[in-house]
Amino acid sequence: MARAGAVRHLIRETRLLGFSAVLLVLLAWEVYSYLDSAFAPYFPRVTSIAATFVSLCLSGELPHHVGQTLLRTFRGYLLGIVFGVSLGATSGLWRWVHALLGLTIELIRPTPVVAAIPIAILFLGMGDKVNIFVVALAATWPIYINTLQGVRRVSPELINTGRMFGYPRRRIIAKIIIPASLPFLVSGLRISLAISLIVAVISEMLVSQSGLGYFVVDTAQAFRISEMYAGVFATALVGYALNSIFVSLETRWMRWHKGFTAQQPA
Amino acid sequence: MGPILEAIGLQKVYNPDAANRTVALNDISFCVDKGEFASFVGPSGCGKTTLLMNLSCLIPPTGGKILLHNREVTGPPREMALVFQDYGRSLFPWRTVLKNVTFGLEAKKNLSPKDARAIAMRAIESVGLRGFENHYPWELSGGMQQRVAIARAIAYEPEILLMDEPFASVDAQSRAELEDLLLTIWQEFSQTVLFVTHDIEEAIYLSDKVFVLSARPASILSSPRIQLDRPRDQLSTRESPAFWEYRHRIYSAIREETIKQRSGSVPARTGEPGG
Repeated sequence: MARAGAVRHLIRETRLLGFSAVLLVLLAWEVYSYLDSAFAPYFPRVTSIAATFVSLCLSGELPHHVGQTLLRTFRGYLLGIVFGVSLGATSGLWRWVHALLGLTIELIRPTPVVAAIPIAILFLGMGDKVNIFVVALAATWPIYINTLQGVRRVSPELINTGRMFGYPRRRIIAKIIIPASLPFLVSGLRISLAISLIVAVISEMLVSQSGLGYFVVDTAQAFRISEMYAGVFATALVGYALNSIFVSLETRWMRWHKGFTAQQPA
Repeated sequence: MGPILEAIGLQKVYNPDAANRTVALNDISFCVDKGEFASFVGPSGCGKTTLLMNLSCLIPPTGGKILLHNREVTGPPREMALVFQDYGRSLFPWRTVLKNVTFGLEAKKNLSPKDARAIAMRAIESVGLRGFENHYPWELSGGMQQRVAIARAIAYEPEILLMDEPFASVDAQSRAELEDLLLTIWQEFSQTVLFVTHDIEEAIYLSDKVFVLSARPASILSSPRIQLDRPRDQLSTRESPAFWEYRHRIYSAIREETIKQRSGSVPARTGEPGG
């Protein structure tokens, strides 16, 4: 009994199983590229990629590119938040705003954002402005959609409670609509954060002379395959880290929402 | 002393110009005296909730007048507080019990946060939730959540407490407890209560006066005065012959009305092609 309990604890409460799976994949990779030498140029051994990764980190080259990518990601993301929240909130609060802008937004929104890169280059040149613009454009829509839904789905009972107690519209927005739609906004923010990183890296492949996207393409074209993989791993780690930080902040600040949804029938 | 609340020829029509025009309330007139406990009972879907929404002016009626202290009501009046059926959707999940209860008080000017807190704590105590003030509503059972909603309403010290099927979503045991709690609070705070329910026995058990509503469009069929002794008791009151007589009278009035409706003499909707 005690042993079964311990096993269950390991499975449910620790990440042991997940980490083992990652290690297993890396191990299989290591063994395969060791055995099949014809494969080695495209699939260098994990250990040699790791060695390259460490030396690139120590030389400061990789941290430099990570820093550039993060800078572009966050600048675009913050702009996207400003656009997404203001468009979503105003469209949710006032019907005429939605009637006015809804169609335009629905035409722009499904367009793959990479299609906007050539246009952005025409207007903004080849600098960071292009990365920031396309990241902002891509980050805007999930935040817009979620904010709009959040504002619209505030239960009429909550709003009527405010009206009944004589709250003016301004305070109903501040005290009821904003906190009640926050969980929606937060899930929009999480989706957009992931998209922002992706779009930052893609745009760097096309227009930048620095950043992880630039680094991966540049090393691939120079056939520095180990370095290319080191860049890819760095991108994965950055993505994982950003999401982990976001989720830990969310669980701390939105504790009420988790408890509330756990109580509600599905 | 005149009535505290009076409705004259109240009418509510939804979508007045559209094909799905629906008459929800049809010529409703009644009055309620200060301190009275009045219930509205009627078949489900008859427009009971619409009636409360109209009385509170959260959704204004399309015809007729509501007089509060002989003055016409045009917007949600400060003298009223409302308890909804669905506590899960009417309590603020991001606020603790205490913060939910102070919500109405925060709208009152010239009330310091300290005084608001003291008033809220008294209300929390009278609904029996002392010790739970720092919990979140979703940490409590359904019955306890509805107590929070009641505490929030009475802390506001309204002259009229409106309740929309407040106990319809709680289990039978909590329901009986909440009914008795409500009667105690009503006597302690001497409010006027307007209580909507589909449960005939609940209406009789609680009320001084029961307004029996017809099926949609709702109109008042009868308004028997309930002369059962107070304080009322879940066993002896509900088992008394007088109680069963009231039940019989109200039940048969509603049943007669339902049969009349089904036979099609009064169409529930008008304006439908071929209806």
